[in-house]
Amino acid sequence: MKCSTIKSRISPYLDHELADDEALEIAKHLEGCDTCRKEHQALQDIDSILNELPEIAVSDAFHRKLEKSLNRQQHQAERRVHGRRSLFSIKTAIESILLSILKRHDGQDDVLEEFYDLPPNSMGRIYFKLF
Amino acid sequence: MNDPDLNIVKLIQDGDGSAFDVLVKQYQDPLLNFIFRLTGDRELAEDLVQEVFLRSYQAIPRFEIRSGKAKFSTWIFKIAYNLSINEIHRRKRQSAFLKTAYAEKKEMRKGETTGSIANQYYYRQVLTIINQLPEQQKAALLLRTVKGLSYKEIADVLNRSVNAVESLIFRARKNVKSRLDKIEEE
Repeated sequence: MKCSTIKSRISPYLDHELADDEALEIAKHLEGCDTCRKEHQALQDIDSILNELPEIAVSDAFHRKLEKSLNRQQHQAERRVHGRRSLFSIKTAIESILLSILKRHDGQDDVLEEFYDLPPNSMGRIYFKLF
Repeated sequence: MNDPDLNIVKLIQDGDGSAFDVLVKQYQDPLLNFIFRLTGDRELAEDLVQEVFLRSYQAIPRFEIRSGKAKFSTWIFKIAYNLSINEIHRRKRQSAFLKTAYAEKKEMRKGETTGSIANQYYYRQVLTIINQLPEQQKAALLLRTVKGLSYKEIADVLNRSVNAVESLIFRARKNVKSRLDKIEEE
């Protein structure tokens, strides 16, 4: 393999990302070639420097803040579900009322019995009382 | 695919919310350091780590535990990378990031009793050079050298092909090397 080819493959070789036969060929070349060996060493040094950069840790307040945010997120999710259920109840009540209007116009008086089991202050009852 | 986090993910999906704390403790510092190196802003990095955990907590119920699918670590780093890049683009304050990176580096070095001034200067130079790399080169290099992800895993995080990742890392290393060589010549 030519040095120009080796130099273009040194990076994945360093990362153990080459097939065994290619890696072996590069290893053999590096043993006998100063220039490519220096190139390999230079890239290794860069990796070492990056690994030596000091690591930072999360602050003391991190967990407290995260717990607060997770709880808030959870409550918002629960409110959305509750809101959807409330909307569904209102929607059901309106549909029942509209259905009764249609049936009354058809002259069926017994449709009013459908409202007898609705809660006292529900929209269905309120509507019924107005009439 | 052998993923050591899958048992914890399964517990969370089965309703054990306390298992999420295990993942938080495991990934908080690696994510913080990755995002900090990408953005150069420590305060921003910590805010973004919070956001990563909030989003991953919401999305974990949909995380597919199947052999051959992405590892949890790759998945969470992908969220971190996307949030970081979005924030960098939103702020577009590269020069401010560099200043913060210098300040942070000084702060980090305060407690050290070993290491020469020359070393400190050199590390600062390296940090500056890293910060100046194009975003994807920087991310690919950090994920490989610092986090030890494979090219395939990095490809998942960055949403690129394995060949593209190989090229990104190669160019990143070449860029860092050529800039370091220039500094040494000066």
